[in-house]
Amino acid sequence: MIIDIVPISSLRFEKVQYYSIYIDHKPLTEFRDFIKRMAEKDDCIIELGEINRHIQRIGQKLGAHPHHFKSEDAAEALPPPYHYFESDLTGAYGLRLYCIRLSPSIVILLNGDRKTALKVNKCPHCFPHFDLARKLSKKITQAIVDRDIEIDEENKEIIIYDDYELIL
Amino acid sequence: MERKKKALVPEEIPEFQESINRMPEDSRIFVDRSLEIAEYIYQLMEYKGMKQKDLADKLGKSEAEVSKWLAGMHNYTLRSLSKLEAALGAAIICTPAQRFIHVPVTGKKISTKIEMEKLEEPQKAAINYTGKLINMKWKNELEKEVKAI
Repeated sequence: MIIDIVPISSLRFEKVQYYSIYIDHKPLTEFRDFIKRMAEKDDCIIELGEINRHIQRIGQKLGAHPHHFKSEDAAEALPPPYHYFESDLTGAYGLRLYCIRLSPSIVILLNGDRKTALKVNKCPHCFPHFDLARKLSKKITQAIVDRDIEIDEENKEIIIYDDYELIL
Repeated sequence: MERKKKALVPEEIPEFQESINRMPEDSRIFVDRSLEIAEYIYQLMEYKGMKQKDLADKLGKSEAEVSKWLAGMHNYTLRSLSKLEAALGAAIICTPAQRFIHVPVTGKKISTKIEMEKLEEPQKAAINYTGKLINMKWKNELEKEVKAI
């Protein structure tokens, strides 16, 4: 699986630059795929808007701090911990978006879905996205340690060197 | 040999803003307000030198319970906000009944009084209250008590 990290130009804010990824040169980034799929579901529209507004306000005003995200193994998820959407009362567990918070100014937004089981391992919709997020997070962390990827905090930039391929 | 950086081609996601524009107004306000309140609680904790555990102990709650109040996107109840105001010794929400905010400053007899009724929307008073404190670099300058009168 070849991963290409790209900055999202419309999600460059004062405090945070958001990124996403292409998998195997697919036409859509994972985050765009998430938005497009969820926007088609009537019961997800409000939750999708709330997650996106949360992302926007963190980017504009606050910076991406750990407490704004739910820690999920080596990755993160939104909404933040213990938030329950109204739909949760009906037995579902709400929308989940998996992401990787590299620093207070750099976040990679991935993919997600409606969670239908308490444990993510038991949710057929979310588990593939969660699994990708945690594996990618570990891979990126290793690449940072090996200096194949660098984080330019000041310019909110992920630097990937030309001779390095991010492959999962 | 110097390594060359990969050129990362930016992507546009117009659907992002569209999804926010499609939100009901109350949902947008909910997200904004909950983040503002959470951030303000964080600032008050920092000013008071309190850790999450200290606040949890003072409230008789678990740290997990307190962390959900500080994450944003939390549906605060008036009861939980009242408990937080009592534990932090400061107002978190303001209403027009609180006509003035008195901010005592150490060493100087300066007080900032904001006439809430002059503001167009009473709700904005709470934001101004927060904003004013931040602008004054209140952490270093103010006394430990921030009283809403």
